[in-house]
Amino acid sequence: MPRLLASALQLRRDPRILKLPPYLSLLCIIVGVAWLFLLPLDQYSRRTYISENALLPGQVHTYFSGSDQNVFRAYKHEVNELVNKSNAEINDKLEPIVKDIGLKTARQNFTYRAAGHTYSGENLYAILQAPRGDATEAIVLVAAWENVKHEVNKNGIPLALTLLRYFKRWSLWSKDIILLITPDSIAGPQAWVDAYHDAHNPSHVASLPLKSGLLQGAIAIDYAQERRFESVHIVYDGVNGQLPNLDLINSIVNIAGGQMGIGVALQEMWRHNNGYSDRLRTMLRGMLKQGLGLASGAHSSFIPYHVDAVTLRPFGEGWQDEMAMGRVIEGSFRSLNNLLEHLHQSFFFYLLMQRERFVSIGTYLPSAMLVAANFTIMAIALWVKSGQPAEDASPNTKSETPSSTAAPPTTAERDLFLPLGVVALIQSLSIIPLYLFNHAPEGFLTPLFFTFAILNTLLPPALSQLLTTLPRSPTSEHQYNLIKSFSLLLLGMFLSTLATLNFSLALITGLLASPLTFLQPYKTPGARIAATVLLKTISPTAVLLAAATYWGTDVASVLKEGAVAWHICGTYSPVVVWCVWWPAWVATGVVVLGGRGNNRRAKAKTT
Amino acid sequence: MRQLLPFLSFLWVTFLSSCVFPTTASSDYHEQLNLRPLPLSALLASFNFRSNTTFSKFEKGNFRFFPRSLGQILQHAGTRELHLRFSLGRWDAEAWGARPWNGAREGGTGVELWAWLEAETDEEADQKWLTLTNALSGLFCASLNFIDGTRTTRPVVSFQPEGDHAADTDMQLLYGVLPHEVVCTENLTPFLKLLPCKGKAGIATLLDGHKLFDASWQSMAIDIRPICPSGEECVLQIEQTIDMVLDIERSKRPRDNPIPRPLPGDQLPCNTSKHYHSHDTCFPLDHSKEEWTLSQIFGKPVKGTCPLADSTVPPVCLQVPNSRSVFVSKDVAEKKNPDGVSRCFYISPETELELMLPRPDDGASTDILTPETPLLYAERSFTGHGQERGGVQTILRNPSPDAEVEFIYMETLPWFMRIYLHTMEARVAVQASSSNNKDRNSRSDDINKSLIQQVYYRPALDRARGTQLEVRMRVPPASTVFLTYDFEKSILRYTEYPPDANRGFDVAAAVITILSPGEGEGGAEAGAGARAAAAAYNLRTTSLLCSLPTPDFSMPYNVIIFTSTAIALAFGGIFNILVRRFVAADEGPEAGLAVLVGKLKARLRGAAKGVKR
Amino acid sequence: MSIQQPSPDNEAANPDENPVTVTETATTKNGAPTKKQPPPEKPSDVRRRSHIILSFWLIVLCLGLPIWWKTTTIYRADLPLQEMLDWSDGKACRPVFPLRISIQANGLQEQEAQNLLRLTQHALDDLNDFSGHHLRLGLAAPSTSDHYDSESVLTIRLLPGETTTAKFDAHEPVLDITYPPNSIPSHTSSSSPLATYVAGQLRSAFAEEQATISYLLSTNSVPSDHRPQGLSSDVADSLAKRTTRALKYAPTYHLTFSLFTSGPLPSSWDIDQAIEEYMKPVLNVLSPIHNFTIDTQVQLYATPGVQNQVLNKEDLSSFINAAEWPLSPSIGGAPTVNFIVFIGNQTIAVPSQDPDEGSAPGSASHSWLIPQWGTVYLLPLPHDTTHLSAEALKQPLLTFTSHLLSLTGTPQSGSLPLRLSTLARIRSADLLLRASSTLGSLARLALALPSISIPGRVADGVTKTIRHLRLACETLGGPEGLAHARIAEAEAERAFFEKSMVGQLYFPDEHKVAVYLPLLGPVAVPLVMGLLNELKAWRKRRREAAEAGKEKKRE
Repeated sequence: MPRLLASALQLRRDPRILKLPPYLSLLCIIVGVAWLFLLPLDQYSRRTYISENALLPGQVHTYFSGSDQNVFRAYKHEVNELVNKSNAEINDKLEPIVKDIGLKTARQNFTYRAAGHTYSGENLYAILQAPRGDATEAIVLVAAWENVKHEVNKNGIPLALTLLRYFKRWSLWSKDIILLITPDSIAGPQAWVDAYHDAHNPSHVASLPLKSGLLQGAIAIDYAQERRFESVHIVYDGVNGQLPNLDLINSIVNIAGGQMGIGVALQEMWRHNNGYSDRLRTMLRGMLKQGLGLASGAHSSFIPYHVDAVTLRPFGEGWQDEMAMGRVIEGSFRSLNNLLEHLHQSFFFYLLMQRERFVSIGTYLPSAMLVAANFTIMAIALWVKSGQPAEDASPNTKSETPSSTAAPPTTAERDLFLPLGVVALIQSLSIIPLYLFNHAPEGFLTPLFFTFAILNTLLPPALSQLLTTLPRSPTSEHQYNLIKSFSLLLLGMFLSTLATLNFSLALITGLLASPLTFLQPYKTPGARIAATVLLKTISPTAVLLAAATYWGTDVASVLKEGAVAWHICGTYSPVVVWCVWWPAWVATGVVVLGGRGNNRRAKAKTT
Repeated sequence: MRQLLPFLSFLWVTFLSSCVFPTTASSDYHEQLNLRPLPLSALLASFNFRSNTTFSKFEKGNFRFFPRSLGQILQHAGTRELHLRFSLGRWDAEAWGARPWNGAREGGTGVELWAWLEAETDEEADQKWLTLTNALSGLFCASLNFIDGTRTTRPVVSFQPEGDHAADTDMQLLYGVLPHEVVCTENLTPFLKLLPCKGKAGIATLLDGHKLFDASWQSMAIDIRPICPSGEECVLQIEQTIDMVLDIERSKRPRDNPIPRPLPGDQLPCNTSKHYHSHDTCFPLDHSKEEWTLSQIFGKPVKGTCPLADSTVPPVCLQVPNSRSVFVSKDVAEKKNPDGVSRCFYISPETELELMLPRPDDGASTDILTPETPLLYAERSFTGHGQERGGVQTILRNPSPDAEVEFIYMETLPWFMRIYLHTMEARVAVQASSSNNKDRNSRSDDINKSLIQQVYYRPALDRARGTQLEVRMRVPPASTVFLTYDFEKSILRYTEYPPDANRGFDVAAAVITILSPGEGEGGAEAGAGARAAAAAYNLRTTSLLCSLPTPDFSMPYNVIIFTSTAIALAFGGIFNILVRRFVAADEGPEAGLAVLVGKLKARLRGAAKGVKR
Repeated sequence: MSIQQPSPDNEAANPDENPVTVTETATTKNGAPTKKQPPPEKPSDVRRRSHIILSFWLIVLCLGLPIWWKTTTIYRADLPLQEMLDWSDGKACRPVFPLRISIQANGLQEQEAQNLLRLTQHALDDLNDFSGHHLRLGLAAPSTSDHYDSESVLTIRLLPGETTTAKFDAHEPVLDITYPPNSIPSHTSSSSPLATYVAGQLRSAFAEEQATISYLLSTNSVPSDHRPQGLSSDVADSLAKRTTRALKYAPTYHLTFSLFTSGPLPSSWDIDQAIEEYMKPVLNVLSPIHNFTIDTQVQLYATPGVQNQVLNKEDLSSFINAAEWPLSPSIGGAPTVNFIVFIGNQTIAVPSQDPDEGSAPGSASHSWLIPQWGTVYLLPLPHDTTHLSAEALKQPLLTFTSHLLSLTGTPQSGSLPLRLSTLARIRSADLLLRASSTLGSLARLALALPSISIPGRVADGVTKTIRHLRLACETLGGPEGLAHARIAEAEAERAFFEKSMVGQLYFPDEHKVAVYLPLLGPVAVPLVMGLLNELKAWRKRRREAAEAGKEKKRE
């Protein structure tokens, strides 16, 4: 047994092994991507199921109808009169209505500053105290005045008011019900949730004068469309790609689809024939959303506090009216009300590919891990390689003499200081773009970005130039290998860690950075130029620009989104882009450009 | 106190009649129902039953009005005075004002029990406490037997005996609370069985589980205390109280159809003044002003009186301004009280009492009594998030413009909430409308220093007893005080988790005992360990739900296996290094692919030879 | 910093204590140059290595395994199983009741009396068939005083009279027998009618006790050698009936007198006075065996479980409205005996015939006895009576008294004092047998479940039980015997119902091994390999040493 181990270790010195890593990491990437594309198949994805028995979705009759519709219409008139009024006026008008329903109301001011803008407003919220309950648990009904697309929630707000008035008549609530009316869909909820958990910065966000118990769940209504709707769109992505417990989504699907006969759509897949392509598209969209990690609705900011939340948004042309929507919400609230424990049974890490099919983390994680692994493999290979003398013999002679293993193993001193220094320097440099793009006011973003892009293209050559000129002993091949090895090692490490937190972000970054694995100093000018061009095209700035143009926005708005998310919701995608991906790219650039000059000098020396 | 007079007047009447002539047979038992409409279409109904027995009869075990089952328990557990509370829901102080009985007859959510036991040593007291709780849990179908050492505390200043006790008997006060207990019908039935007339006659006929536990707030109390009127034999008095706040609209629904279906459109009370008002659009009016009758609210009228009850005490009293007209069924004598805000009704044992409060004409401004503002508003909530540590914040607001409130704030926390006492601080919320900043800060600082006067703290022992914290503090007039402290959540052993661990763990309500002004200072001067003054007003905060880190319960074996694997690996490494011999690389045996291949070849050759032979 | 290339694989280099094998492997490779050998190892290193391995093994064997085993094993206190089983099989103690009966014949002179005594003893021994229960006569010191020595159960006073009559004293355990003068046997005669008469009297007096005890023995698993032969089935039935009706023995009984009415009246009664008058005497007599605590209650608006006017047999069982009537058992150790006076004019359809019901014939249609629970008495009253006087309670209380006796399991026949002493003996026998059977079942449990934990408390309880059982067995029949039996029984119950014996964390041995295998396996492999290598090397060294010795010799 130990003998075997030893021989296995001996294999490290076998040159054939040393040839392997590039192919190996390529294989990793290919398998990883292929894996992803296998997931939508029936064999790999699973049917959803309710694992928390207490939820009993769709087991209760819903009575929200009849004369409540008259009330709804009245409230809608009230709301329509408030369109284009200021936030304070709206709250002044709504608060008495809520008070008359018999709820305890309170307000909260907040002010955020991001990208030169100030996002300020006043949240209005009301607590329906559960009869016989005692403020230990609560469910939240969020109705933002305008949704992420800045459409006024014309039906959502009246519906929420009518529902609360209806809920007040029931005596079966075991949890308080909190109605939260926020001026917008991102900052308002965030401020409120932060304050509720006392995680807020008092200088920007006011504390809550009125509180209830633990939040057990939240449902946001986003009902801006005027006409009757066909089915409901469940938005479930949280900040930084965190997701609500799958049971919540399942029970809403169950209630809407099974009980009310209302269709359910995910990820803006308005039509979904449960086929491979649609499943794949749903999954990829979900992954993209998750990867960006932006708040996708009023519910998003609840999820980081382990409060499971979704946004319900009716869409399409159909015969379902507001009352049907109200019944869906009533059913969901009854289910949440049944909960004895906090939602914990079902999955928190999953990819939905249809409203009744999903894959859990165990199934999909390997793909991201494989992609991350390819960097690590390459890094190790480079490390081993850097431990051997630069072979100037032609490869074919080596391959003929296998007995070369018998030759005494030669070793080379690894000079670690310079590579480590370079990598550290690049990593520390990455703070600069992060800070700049997060704190620059919106106006400056565009010029700033382009100047940075230009500097970015110039940075690698400049660094490599420095490396060739500055140190007394010219930088050797080994050191370049080491630089790349270290940067890849870091990249692999970061990504594999990130994959457990935000799978999609890790995968996307990994795929975008995967070419870096294979770029190496080329000797022929053609290859060199090709490599340089490839390098430029896969630079973060270029990718950003391309993405922005693809989605028809300008870079500035993308960056602004990032900055806003960073400041309000604490989205860390910018960190990943600037502090994980960008340094790796720069390091590779240095190696690619620097290695060449060094090679030439080496040749010159030999002749 | 002033503003509480009207409400107390009846209790005063009954109290007199009970204490002045306790020996006359007629006054050994009496009962009374007080009805009091509250804002937001709520109705406070507080039932009160009180019966006495002389000590001599009690000792001999002759029970007439006093329930035998309870008396036996008291005798067996050497209990001198006992207070038991079952409560549900929360009292909405903003809307409903001061609590009935000054909060003396209510407890925090769940079950609360405190008693003075006759014991020399703590061990003896614990022993008796154990028997007491077990017996009571059997009697009341409540899991009182779960009040173990970890849930039992010995308050120092919060509670004072209500009865008259001989000075020489050394008694111990023990206090236990079960916040998680859900009070329900099975607790009401034994409660009624204790009454002389059961639920069969008198006002007790109105008590019905469906109504009681549909109430927005309800509290059942049992108080047993010895009372020694001057110059007469001491009597043991048991007082049973049920207070409930009913939502009139909800309780008027018929029993067979309790579902709040939406009203038909035409019956919906609408605000017709709205311009958009039409047959299918209706801005609703609040229907707080509703007429109601006893049988609508409780499902049945009062069936006579209990023949044992003291006939001089009116069975039913209603608290509305005398200006309001009240309809009653025939041969019911109505008597308006001089204070002008209440009236009582006398009936003979056989007659039924039906009572109707018509909807007030909108002209009348004072259709119901304006609720008295309580002495103090208190609200408690958790701060912080996460599974490691958190904080508790109590907001105490003193509404009165001139009088400052002095009170004792008592917390009994479970042992797994490790409180950091040094983080406990009380600060006055600084009003924006104040003079220049600097002097305000300075003022608020020295005010903050003077807020907390005494702290009685008994730290928790893991798995043995909970934290007990009693803070004697004062709130300046017309100001709000934040009392905050931090705590650390400890991790339980995996067998200690309840089956619904992910729900969280209930933390009992904090008890606030407000001291009547005069004696308050006296207690303060007497310094630490002073017996506090009699309580002027009690209130309890809501209970809290504390979520602890809960493991995946398949964990333990995984942990064992994982750790042992790690240990094994480490051991293997060390052992090898110790017993292996190190040689230079080229001196070691040949290894690598070639060797393996060579060996394999040799094997094959040998095998082939074997085959040939 | 710099890292030497070979260093990483040095640890990995295969340690081979014998260079010979190395050379072999080297030479197998064709054409490859034989590589250089590592320098021969110093003997000190070899010794050190063997020491290391040895010490590892020692630690593992002497420390690790025992500790692991000890800490993961289930604690089982060792019980005297065999002894316990013996007790349960009745091998340990054979219950014998030596009953001393003193004869007091003041009228006779010494020698006559002796003679009579001998004859009576003979007659008794002829009659007696049950060795466990044995009457022994003795002659009391001829004294005229009224006090009687305590250890004799019964005293026979022989008084001269004209005919032979026998009558029990009402208040003392005394049997007065009058005899005609001519019936004194002469000291030569081998038999005398008087003697047989006395014997017959005694036998009839103790027949019931004997039957009861033999019944108890037969119900418990007592070897048949000293089990009575003849127990006629009907006797056994009646005994069974009585024993099932009687309450479990307890030193204290709690009597609860309840007045239940279906309406508001009457609401008060003179129960104190009534008890004082009609019940106290009997309670005082019973006091040496039991003491009683009393409480009373009045319950209005109590509707019975059965509404119909005429109650027949099956109604009687459901008459008690257990759900609503507050008859909760007392919380002390004492069992409660309920005596209920129900104000109502219901009548009982079937007046119970057999005297075992124990109800006085007058009240047969008013009351019935509920086994092991108490008595209900139906008392019809005019509606407007508000107060219940003591006289009205006379009949009920008398009924209660008689029922109380049968509830405590007192025999029916004989004079009261005799019945009571009998009761004591029956009780002690009963307790003794019950305790030993409990021990037996505990022992069987311990044997049946090898992986159940047995805490030390159980063992203590068992030892204590056995000690007291011995004492009880020695002093059977006497009052201290009763006390010991009582303690033994309580201890046995406590030991058997030990809570911590039913651990909810069941952790069998195979489970344990399975969990710890990941630790034991990987640790064991290198240890064993190391040991084997070491042994191999050691044998080789010895062989080499031997060869070297041969070489020397050859030279």
